[in-house]
Amino acid sequence: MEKYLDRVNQFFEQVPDWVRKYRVAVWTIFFLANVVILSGVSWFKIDMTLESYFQQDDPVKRAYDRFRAQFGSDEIIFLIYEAKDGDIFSNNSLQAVKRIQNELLNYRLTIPADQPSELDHIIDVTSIVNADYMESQGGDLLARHFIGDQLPQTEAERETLRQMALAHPSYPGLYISDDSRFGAIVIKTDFGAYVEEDIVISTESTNDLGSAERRIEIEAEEFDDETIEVDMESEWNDVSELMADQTPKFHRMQIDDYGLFMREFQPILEKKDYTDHLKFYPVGNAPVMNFFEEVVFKDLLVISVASLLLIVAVLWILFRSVSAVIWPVVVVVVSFLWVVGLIGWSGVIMTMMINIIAFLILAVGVADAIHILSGYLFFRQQNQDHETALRSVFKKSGLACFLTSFTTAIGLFSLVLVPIVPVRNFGIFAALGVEIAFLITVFILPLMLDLWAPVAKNVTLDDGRIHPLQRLLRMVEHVGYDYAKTVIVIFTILSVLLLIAGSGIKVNSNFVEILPPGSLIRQSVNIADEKLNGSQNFEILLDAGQADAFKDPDLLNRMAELEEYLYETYPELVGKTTSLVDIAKSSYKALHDNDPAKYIIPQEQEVLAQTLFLYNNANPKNRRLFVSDDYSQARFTVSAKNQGTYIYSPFVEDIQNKVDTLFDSAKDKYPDLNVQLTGGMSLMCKLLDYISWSQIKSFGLALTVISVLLLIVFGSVKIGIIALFPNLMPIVFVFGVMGFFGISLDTDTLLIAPLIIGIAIDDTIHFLTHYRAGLRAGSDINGSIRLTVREAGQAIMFTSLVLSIGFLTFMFSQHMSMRNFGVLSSLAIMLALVTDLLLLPALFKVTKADFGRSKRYDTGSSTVSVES
Amino acid sequence: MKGRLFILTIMAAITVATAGTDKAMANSTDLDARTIMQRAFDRDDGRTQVSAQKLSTCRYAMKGKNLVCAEKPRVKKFESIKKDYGPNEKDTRSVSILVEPPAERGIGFLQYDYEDENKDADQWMYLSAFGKVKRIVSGNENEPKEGSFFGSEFGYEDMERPHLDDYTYQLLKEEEVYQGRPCWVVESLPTPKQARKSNYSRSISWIDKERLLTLKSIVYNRQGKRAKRITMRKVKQIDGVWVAMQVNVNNLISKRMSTIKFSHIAINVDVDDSFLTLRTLTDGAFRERHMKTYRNTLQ
Repeated sequence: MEKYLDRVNQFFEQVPDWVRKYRVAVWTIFFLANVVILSGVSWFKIDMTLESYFQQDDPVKRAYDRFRAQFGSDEIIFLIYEAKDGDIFSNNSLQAVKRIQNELLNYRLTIPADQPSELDHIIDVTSIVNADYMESQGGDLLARHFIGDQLPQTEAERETLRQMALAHPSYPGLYISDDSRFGAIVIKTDFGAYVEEDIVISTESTNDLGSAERRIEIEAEEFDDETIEVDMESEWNDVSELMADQTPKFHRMQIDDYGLFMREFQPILEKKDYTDHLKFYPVGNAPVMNFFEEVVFKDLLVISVASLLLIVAVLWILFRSVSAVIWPVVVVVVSFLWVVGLIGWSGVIMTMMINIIAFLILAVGVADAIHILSGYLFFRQQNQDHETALRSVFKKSGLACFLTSFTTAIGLFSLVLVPIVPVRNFGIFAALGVEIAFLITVFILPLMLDLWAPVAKNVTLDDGRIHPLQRLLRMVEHVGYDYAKTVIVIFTILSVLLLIAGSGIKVNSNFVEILPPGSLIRQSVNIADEKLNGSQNFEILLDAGQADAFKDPDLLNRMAELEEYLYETYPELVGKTTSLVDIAKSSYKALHDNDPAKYIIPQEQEVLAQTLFLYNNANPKNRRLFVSDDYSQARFTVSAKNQGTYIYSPFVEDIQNKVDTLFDSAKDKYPDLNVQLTGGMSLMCKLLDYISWSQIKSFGLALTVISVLLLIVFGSVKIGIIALFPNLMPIVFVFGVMGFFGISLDTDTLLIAPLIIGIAIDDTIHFLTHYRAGLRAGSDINGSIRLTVREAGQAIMFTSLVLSIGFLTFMFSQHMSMRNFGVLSSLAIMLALVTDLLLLPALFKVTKADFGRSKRYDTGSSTVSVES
Repeated sequence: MKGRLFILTIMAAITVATAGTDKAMANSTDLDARTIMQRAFDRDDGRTQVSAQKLSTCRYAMKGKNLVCAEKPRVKKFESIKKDYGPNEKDTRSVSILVEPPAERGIGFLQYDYEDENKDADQWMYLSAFGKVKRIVSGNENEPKEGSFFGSEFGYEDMERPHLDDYTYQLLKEEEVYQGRPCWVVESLPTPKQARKSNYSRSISWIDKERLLTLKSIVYNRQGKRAKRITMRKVKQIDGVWVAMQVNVNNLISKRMSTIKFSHIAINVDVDDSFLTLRTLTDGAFRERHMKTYRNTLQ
């Protein structure tokens, strides 16, 4: 291994000369590669959808598809309003609600028929005004809207309405708050549940005969219906075969779909006519996604650019050379674009994880380039000329750069073991990106420096100009070995404290709490949670596998039992459940002259069937929200308060368990009965948790792989183990700080781990290779440490400063997790630096880790002079 | 609820909605189209009708060239008697009694529809398991009708007898052969007033030039998308009246379809006025006695 490493050093030493010899060829190849790879950029596509995380045939996704095929989208906009006069039953409030509801229902009447509108995504709009209401008065059965066309005229009428509404089993919490200060308009959408090919035929004018003819042609084109035989009786047996290719392919909601919708929806909410009387608090996926698009992503872009500029500035302060600023940035940008191009070429669809690839390439690319530049300048200061300095730095740092990028790449590549497609793709392309940055640094950077070096090639630098940071390094270089034990003790105490603080850390993703505390979205969610039934919905799909099953009182009784269980077990979390049970009870009650004692599930099969028949006759549209046409599939909705996955995951699991036991004995009668949690929320929960844990596991794995690799490369178990501690330190630190401040590990903050491992290990590897080279050159432990702190330390310090200042810009993000991510990363990077400069030398000193030098009398051929 | 439930055989023109209709009035072909629709509306559909019908609904799939059910169709069978009243024979009274499925057997509807568009239809429902008749009172006239016929793809609005003045018309094609029959193709757009009440923004109808039967309609929903295709097949002449023995509605959005088939039908037989009253719903013996005679007229 020793010899092998020496040979690698020699190889890298020759690289600058080699590429300079063939510079024309290398530059040509580089440019051609740029042209080819970058042409793939145009095919690059980001998929923001939840579904992109699932494989096409994933059973979870198929269940969700079945749910949506049956019940439509589960995405509603819960438009909460607050009455400005404090009473939603006041004349002004009711009028305003009725007007906005009419506008949302009848917007079509004001635009040409053929003009598509984003508001077309609105399927239904219900409020206390048109809430579905049934009661009997003598022989008459009233099936009507709760308030309807005629708003109450007198105070007494309004009071009666209020009392009726508050006494209704479903209205409070859904349409009105208990103090009748808040109300809600429930807007049902088709988000995620409409089929792509639904094109709206756009014609210039409905009265234009030419376009009308075209319309008929379009009809005819589709298929000639004259030849189609309608066959109601036969062939339905091979359902599965038929349905296999009939599974609807729903439009995947992209973040800008929500944005487009909200840009038409929002102005309606801002009309003076409504805002005079009502204040709106929209809740739902659409407003949240819109907030992401309009605020978070835009400021993410600004911050990324700011971060890059800041890095440029720091690079300039450190190197005082335009060349030393330009080249690292070029390396990073080109590497990133290559990854984007390659993703485009591969046809793989990327998720938002491309952001992390950008950060990783930034970190690794900047580090590689700085190490080369810093080393180059270091050697130029040692009076070496341009060519020699290049050779020296590649001999010294080439191996380290190779090892750092290789270990980071392996760590990332270990993500292919995660069974989530986007995570896997991320691993592959992030690894690729890191390697690309390395290759460009090794093969192109020498040519770039040849073209334009930070110091004129023929100038010799005298020792007089010592960089201020170098002076700082010389001040601390002895601390590690002179106060070795003290340093170790301090770090140990610190670690213990951090571990204690970090032990309380939670793995928890909450996608409302990542938004700024004062934002309207957060306020709205709070109102939904505190004043109404809750801001989130969980869906349970009950599939009995046979028609008319949900006219069986037995199944409805079990659903009622589930309802009761949820209310009793989760009084704080569950606001309301909604299912066919409510419909059966309220219809049965209405059939018995509103006798409250008859708010029960009728226990005779035929009576239940006719009760449901009555409801269906009155309101088939609503009935379809609860049970399929053939009564084989039913839906059970749980409205809950917003919580993170830490609360939701066990909740979801418990519901599934409860459901399994509750319906198990019903399987005698309905052998194909399948009851399963589905819907966007449970999917999201499972996914976020899954991603979090697989991140944790895979980075654990990566850490192990990297450690083993270090062990093999440096051929020393002792050093391998010693090297591990300083790398764990920053992670322990981050978790400790998060634990202390109660910040949860979510899918965003978890990204710190790979970044830190990447950067910390890179630092350590640079440190180790220099340290080893020092020992090989004949220095003792103290001498080697000194040399290493001065040489590698300078580069490590430069990269750490550049990156931590770059990441610090995320402090200004509107995205709480990104903010935490930036600040914590920044701190962790600095800590990694301190650890490498102090703890690592201390550990070397105490354990006498010298790569077995004391056993041999082998001194290297080259000599490096280090003043003591 | 409001629906005029059982005017199954009419479905002459299927309704529709949207603004921008004023210009159509000025169009020269407009008058022709309106006359065509007038004649289709006034088509002789018999004074009484006695029938046994079967309504099947399923989610469908295309198999080769055929539309087939992709699940077991839900079947409802019922007997229906209707009779026209009023000066123009445009007021209708009807009784329908469910025979199948067993759990719903005996559920009955009595419905009075009026030509006068300002007069709401009256509807009574009898639930046999409760032994109770309820008059169904529904709310708002100014909103699209929500009900569907026995939970099928036929909406109440699809089954209503439309009012001529609620729409403007345009002749899209004068010569068109559909199902081997020469047809006019007419587009109907609802007036702004009607548009508020309708689920549809537009419809296109294929009208048999000779028999004045609407053989096919395509209706567009409020979002302007093709919503349903309604086709009539197996047209037969019964007692001088042209009747489509099979009507299919294909919900192009939900991919579900419903078909109504007349298993038996008689036109212009004598129907006792007393049969079209509440007594038929509640008094089983009375109902059976009359039904026996009517059944005998069926072919």
